[in-house]
Amino acid sequence: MRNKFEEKVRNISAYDVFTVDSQLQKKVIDDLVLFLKTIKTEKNKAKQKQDEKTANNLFYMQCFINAIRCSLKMWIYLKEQKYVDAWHSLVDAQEYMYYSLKAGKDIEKSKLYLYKLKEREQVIFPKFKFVSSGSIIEGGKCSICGRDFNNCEHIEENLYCGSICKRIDYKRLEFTHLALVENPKDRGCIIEEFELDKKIYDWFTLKFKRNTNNIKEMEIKVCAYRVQQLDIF
Amino acid sequence: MSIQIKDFNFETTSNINKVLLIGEENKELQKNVFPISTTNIKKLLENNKISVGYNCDESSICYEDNRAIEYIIPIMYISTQVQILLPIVINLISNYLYDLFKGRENNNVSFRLVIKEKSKMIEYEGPISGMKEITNIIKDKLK
Repeated sequence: MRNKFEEKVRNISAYDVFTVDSQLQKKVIDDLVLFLKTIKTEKNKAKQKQDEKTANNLFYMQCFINAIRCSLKMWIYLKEQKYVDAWHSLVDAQEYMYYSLKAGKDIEKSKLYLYKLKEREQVIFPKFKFVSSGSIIEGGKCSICGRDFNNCEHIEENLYCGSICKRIDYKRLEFTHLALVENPKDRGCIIEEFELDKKIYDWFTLKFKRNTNNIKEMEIKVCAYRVQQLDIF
Repeated sequence: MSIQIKDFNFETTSNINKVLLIGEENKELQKNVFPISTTNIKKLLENNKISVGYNCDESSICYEDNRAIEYIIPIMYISTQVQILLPIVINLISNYLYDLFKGRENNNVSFRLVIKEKSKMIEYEGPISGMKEITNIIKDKLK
């Protein structure tokens, strides 16, 4: 599996650039999805044997492949001028790489790809204003053992035999406020459209979108909350 | 990095737990509100044989998630063996946070610690790397 992974990463790097044809990139994504299934089948076998080391190694591969998959999606969205989706794909790719570091495997390789992603962020995208939504939460289950999250021993964001622990299925989730922040937990939450002199502009392209009739308040369009479904379980 | 020490009086009848997590009563919600990190911090300490409790009934607890990258730790009240317990608690939390923020540029943490013997609250805001120095700073400042 390890050799297959190395070979896959090597071969795909040629496709992980802007100029490659989108149809070819989509084919590579399909191939990666199949490879991910193989990785996860092997990971589940390791989990059943309680072979934590193998499961964590496979988790590392799972994250790395997912990061490349997201990066390829970013290029495709950019070419389709779907800039919000492109930004979200880049943020997801970065998140996958942060998770890959938890496996403690090939840290330098992960850091190098993270650096590459950071460079892309700086070159391709504008500086964003981030938003962060405050919420009240009650209850929830543990993604590792399925028990009430408050009554098990698993700690959120820790890696357990190839899977990340998360609090899932909240009993209550109530949004209380929205704030502009420098460092949000989810960098996908950004201002997408802003107002200047009663005109609405797109944050990515700076293109005029429409006039606003809102006299009293400033109008902005934000992505306030993303239900992130990263493949980290 | 900022460390502030303030007077703080907190009374509790509970002596069962070495560490007590203090929430804020929200009358509107009729709940005691804790930061979303609370359950994790409790489990982290309990997994390391440190008994932890809440200053309220567990069924009245809800969590506030501000979804900022800064990690907010609940107010911790250390009732006993401060000299021994404090470095252990700080060490456990900073190691957990180090793993949590691995690879990320921003790794700020904010926490408040109440020490019973001194009736003081210590407020820390800054990077994880500064946390391990807190024990020494606190030792000097609380002499």
